[in-house]
Amino acid sequence: MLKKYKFKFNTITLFLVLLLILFTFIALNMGSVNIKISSLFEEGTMESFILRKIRIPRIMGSIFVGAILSVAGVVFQTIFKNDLADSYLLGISSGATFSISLASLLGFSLQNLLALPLAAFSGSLFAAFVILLISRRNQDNLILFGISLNFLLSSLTNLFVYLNKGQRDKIIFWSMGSFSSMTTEKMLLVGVFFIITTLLIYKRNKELDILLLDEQSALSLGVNVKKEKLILLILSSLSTALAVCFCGVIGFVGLMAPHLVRTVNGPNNKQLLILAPLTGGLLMLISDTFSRTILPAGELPVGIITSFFGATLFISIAYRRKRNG
Amino acid sequence: MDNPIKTVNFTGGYPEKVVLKDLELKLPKGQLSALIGPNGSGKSTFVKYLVKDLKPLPYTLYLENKDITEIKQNENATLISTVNQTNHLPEGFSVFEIVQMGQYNQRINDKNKVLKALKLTHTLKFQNQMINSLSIGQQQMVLLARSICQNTDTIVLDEPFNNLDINHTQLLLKILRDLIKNENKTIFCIMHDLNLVLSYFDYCFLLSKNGKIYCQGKPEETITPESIKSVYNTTVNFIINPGTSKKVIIV
Repeated sequence: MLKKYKFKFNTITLFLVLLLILFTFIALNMGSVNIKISSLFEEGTMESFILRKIRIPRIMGSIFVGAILSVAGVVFQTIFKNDLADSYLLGISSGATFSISLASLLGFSLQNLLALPLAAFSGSLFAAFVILLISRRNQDNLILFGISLNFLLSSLTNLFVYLNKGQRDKIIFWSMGSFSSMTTEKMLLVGVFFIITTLLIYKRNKELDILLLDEQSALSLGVNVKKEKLILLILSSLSTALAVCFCGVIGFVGLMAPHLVRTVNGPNNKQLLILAPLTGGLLMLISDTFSRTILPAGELPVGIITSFFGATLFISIAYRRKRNG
Repeated sequence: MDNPIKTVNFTGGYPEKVVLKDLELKLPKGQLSALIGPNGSGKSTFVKYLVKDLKPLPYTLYLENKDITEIKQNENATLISTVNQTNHLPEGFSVFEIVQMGQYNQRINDKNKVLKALKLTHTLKFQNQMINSLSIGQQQMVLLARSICQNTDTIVLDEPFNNLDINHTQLLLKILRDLIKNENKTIFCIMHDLNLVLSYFDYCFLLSKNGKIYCQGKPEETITPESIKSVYNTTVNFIINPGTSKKVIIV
């Protein structure tokens, strides 16, 4: 109906889905061991074990985490009216790492599927509320506050990690962001969480559009601004926390994916909430495939790759914004 | 008497400062009314109460005879719609999409009603354009269309004629008149331009600097050399506009 952008929403969706399928097959093929995809259907062989228990959980896990972080990015950018907002830059991911490193110091295993997510939830919610309170007073310097909160929580995290002699190396590698410890259970948990939170957020796509207006207009249109912001913030902080819990801090994906989609398809949240997770999942899958194949032995934490590209984009957005006034 | 907006012994403001005091305001239904008064007399603050951005004491502010503290946000948006003064219009939305947001309170998605609102405000031709590509005057009309889409009996506009050229001013006046006549709306504007009020409005409330209503009634009876002297602390002269036979202030 509206000819605002070059490509149609349906075309972009189809294109992204096809790319995702294509890269999933490529990623299944790639790795330290050369495996044919047909081995998936063999029984009891080493190849089918690697595909089923290692590569598929990891591939699906990385897609889900990329998607979760992108949906969270869309929400943060909307409710804080700042296109640089991202779970990492707002300190919400660091809230989760902070409480996880504390839990680990207190003796909980990083593989614990109950205590660790709960710890991550509480940490990220704490950080999210701090940011929400700050945003009510001072919207302009929000990212600066977020990065400061990030530093503050990171310094405490580092203290806990330093004291935690037994688990130190494991936690350091985890906190840099990696899918190497992905399992089928974790992948399913992240997947279910992604679907539930994204559906609940998607139901609020009209509210999200209206929240982009000034607060008084949003109120006069009938949106209960405080309540909606709170619900949206809790949903996206919880899903971010689960992603951090299993894969550490993977920054900037929540910044990159929504930004790319807005550039191509505009800010309409109904469409953004479908395209951003597809893009984020794709970006994360590609990044992770790189991270596990680029070094001849061992692997690179994927957070390094996403941060490198994401920070470059961050600088370019911030630079252009300054020029526009 | 049926009053879309009614205040009883209303006091309002901020923790640091009381702005409105003992306000007794009864908005006449089906008319074009204005709220006038010097800068800082609390006119825009009052609008914040009307959209529940600020919370009044119970039993002091009523919309359609309901205590506003007992009205939910969404119901509030079905009783009264506002066009605000400072509007942050986001990038990337078309005029159509902005107007469509007015239907949020009714949980409907009726394209024809959006088109009708655009037609009433003479903005149908912009429907596919980006909202930010329009002039301020055109944006003002689009925001009025959004208010119309909310389908409320009462529309409140906060200084709608600011930044409008003569052409848009007359157009807006005509649209507001048509809304009252054809759609049975009640319209309440916060105004600075007293001459517009004198020439075109049915009723006005004059707020004094201490946030009380100094006087109210028909504009030509309310806006007098004495009331202006007392409220704005300035001396003005009046002449008769030969075109409309109405009083006009000469500053």
